[in-house]
Amino acid sequence: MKKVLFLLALATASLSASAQTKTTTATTQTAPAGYQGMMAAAIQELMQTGEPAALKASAATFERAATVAPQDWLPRYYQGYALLINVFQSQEEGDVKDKTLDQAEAALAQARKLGGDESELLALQAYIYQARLGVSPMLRSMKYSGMVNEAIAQAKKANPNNPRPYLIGANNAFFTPKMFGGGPEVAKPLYEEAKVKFEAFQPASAIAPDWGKGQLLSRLKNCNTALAAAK
Amino acid sequence: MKRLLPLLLLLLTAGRLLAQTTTLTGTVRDAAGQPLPGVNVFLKTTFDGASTDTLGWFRFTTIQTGTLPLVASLLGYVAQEQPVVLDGKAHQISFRLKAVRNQLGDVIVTAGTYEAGDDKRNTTFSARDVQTTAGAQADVAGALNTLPGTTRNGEAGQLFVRGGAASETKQYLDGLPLQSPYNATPSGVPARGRFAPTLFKGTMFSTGGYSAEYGQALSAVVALRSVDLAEETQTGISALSLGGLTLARQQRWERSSVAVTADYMNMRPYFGLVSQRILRTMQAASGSVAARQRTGEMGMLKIYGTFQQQHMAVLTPNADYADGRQPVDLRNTNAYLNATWRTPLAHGWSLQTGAAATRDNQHIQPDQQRIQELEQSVVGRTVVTNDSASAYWNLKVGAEVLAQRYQFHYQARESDVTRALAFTERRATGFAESEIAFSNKVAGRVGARAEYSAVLGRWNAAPRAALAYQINQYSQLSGAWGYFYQTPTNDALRLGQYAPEPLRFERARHYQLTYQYEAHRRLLRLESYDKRYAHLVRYDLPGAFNPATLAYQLPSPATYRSTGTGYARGLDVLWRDKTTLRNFDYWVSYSLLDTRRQQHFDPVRAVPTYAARHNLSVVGKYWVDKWHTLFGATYSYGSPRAYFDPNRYDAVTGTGYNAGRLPSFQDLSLNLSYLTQIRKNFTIIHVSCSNILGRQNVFGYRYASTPDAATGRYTAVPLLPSARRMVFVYLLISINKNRPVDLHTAPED
Repeated sequence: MKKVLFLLALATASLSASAQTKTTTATTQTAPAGYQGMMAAAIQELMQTGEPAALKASAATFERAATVAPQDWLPRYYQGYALLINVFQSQEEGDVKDKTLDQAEAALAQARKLGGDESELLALQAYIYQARLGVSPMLRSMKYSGMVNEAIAQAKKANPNNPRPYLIGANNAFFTPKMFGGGPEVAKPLYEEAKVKFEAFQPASAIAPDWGKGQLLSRLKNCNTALAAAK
Repeated sequence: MKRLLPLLLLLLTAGRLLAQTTTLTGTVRDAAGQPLPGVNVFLKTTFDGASTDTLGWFRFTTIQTGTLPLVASLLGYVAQEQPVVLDGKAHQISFRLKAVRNQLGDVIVTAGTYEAGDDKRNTTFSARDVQTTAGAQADVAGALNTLPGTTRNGEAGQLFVRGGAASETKQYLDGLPLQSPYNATPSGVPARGRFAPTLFKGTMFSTGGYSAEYGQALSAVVALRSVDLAEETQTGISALSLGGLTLARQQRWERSSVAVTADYMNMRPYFGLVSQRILRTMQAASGSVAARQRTGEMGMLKIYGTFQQQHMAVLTPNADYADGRQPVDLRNTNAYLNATWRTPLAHGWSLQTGAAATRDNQHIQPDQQRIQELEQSVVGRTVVTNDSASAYWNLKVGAEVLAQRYQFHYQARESDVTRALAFTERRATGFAESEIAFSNKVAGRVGARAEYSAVLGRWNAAPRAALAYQINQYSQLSGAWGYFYQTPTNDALRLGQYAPEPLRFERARHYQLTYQYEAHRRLLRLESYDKRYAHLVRYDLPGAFNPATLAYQLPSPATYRSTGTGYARGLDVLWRDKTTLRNFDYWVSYSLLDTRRQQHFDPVRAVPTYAARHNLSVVGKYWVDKWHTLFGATYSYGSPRAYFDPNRYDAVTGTGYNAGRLPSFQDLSLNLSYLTQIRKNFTIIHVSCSNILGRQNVFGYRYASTPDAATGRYTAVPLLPSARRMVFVYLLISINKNRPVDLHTAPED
């Protein structure tokens, strides 16, 4: 069943991909035929899982994809993203998580070398810093909270229409307790702002970064429930 | 036919599909034959592949045809390729991956060093430890004094490492040696580091066997790394209940930042509250500017300047005075400028260069005497490093030049003639060092350093080597050996420069062996060492042997010679555990020290007065999230230190020298840091109390320069802390409009 779904997804994805090939960058066009479709399928699989093992497997898939289109930054971007999400989902020890984040940052650096979208790369960098902070909040908060904010600000500056830095920034506020200047009340307008950005956002291609809307909507829902419960 | 065609086509395609499905299976093992999990095995230029399971096994199918390379790739191993014919049959392929040998990071030579900072994850000692260790009073040396290898000298406040004097520990700021790392104090009053710990992002403390990059240190090195760009634009106000006020402003732009501080301290109100035995006046004003500019993609230009003015008046214990107290007045002006630049160059090389200038002017008046010391120095340094990742070794080459002018003026009383002593030093240094990965388990470091000193008119060459063996994932054994040279201190050189036989560099030879176990945020470190001193400066006291006369009379230059020797050996133990109890971090450090030396006026080899045989520190920190408070406690113990008692000393036989033993040193200090907000601005309140049990610690005895006429014995007064306890409250407010206040993480500053 899983395989059928996968094939189906592959088919639909390749359809939508072929419909949009016009918008893809020159570098991806040098990739072999079928690359776009395979990427789209792999991305869809990545976005649907929250399982640490599956996320590792997904990162491996993107590492393979990077050998298919060595000039495209997107496989490296998604490889980094998959490893990052793995850290948020896994129950491993801090040292192991740090190693995974090292790999994520290595992939991010490769994506940057290939001339990837600066705003997206900075947003992912901010997310990685958040994960680093999460490994040992007591020791790292001071250092990394500043770095998270800095990377978010730079990502917004590079592309004010990219919704992801807004989402990551709103998350920051959401997880800061209410009495210290955070919480759902403060986060809600930030999520609303991110929502507007998400609604206006058009990804550059079928395989360009387009994640976060689902997360945003569920967080917004959490905000509303929390605010309703407080009343 | 028309109906047959699609069917035929369908059959054909189905057949082709079936015929093209190739199954690939196999295992991946490491060089030792152990299965490797998590290896990405795939057909190059395709999406087809799988990761190996815990048994190193992989299986996947592909519809590709022809011949394609099958790749096995895992971080830390050399990727391997094998061509595979994709003919629709099942193939079994196995791989044996070799570990990458160039990863210098696998084995790091840790002998003797305590890394601190946020860069390295497994740091023994983090930057915030300096601020939150009870009893350290936010002083770098105070915090490092809780690590093994140190003996806490309450009357000096400086670092005494492994039987070495304070002058044997050299401090470096961004690679440049610091001329005056401590603020000025009269003897008997503990000094503090001149630089605020918030300036630094990391500290490397090495208690022996250090890299050839560092020189002019017989015993230890403290390498301070200053922060790069200020993180955010913010204003800070802090107030210290001892009578201090600091204003700080930092401004951040995208690629640059400027931070300015102004600081004023006057302890008079505090002295009114807590009566002091020694201190009478403590007044200081200082300011600093730190500018940072990013250059290129990875370069960083840093300029730091600071100016400080200080006035202290004390009543120091002195048995020659009727009430046992001698008034001493001290005024000090210190200016320091440091500029450094680091940038990557081509082909894996990187450059670090910089220059620093210091001017330290000190007027000290013990009662009628007038002493002025003026020291000015300029030091420049350039280091190039090649960390090229594809090699099995790296290379670091550097050069350092120093010009120093020291002037000393002495008057026995204001109306007397001034005796002036001065010297000019020019020193040139070159060093080279390489770290080599012999295998995945063995790494080494070899280096050498050569110096020329104009004031001595001599050369030295110091070879150094270290070797580390990784026993397993968690533990390591390492050893280090080396020669270390240091120019005699200013007070030895000012007269010693006229010695009949030119003085030599003082020399130490280190051997040390370290075992380290580190896992799950627990660390155990055992280190044994053997240090031999040679060419230490010696001189004779004028007249009959009594060190108390040194306060009034200078020794004769003719007696200066480089014939002193000594040794220090011992065992250092550190245990740190951040895991066992949640939110609780503690460490225990113990050092056993056996040392003797003959230096300066020592008539025989003896235990120096600053060395304690047993030293113990127990430090604990507990974070209570609910109260936003970090509690800290430090217990320190130092076994009885030696002191000189002229009544027990027999000048003829040399027996009884440094035979006195002080009571043991014990101190229990507590502190807490409470995080809160004032008008939505992040605020930290520190409360600190030293010696909570009120133990009367004795730091030494000061004997009269002449025996009592009636008894024929020398009378003495004890050297005690100025007050039994030091209690203070420190308030810090950070005004920052951008960052929401977070009170749920333990404080860093």
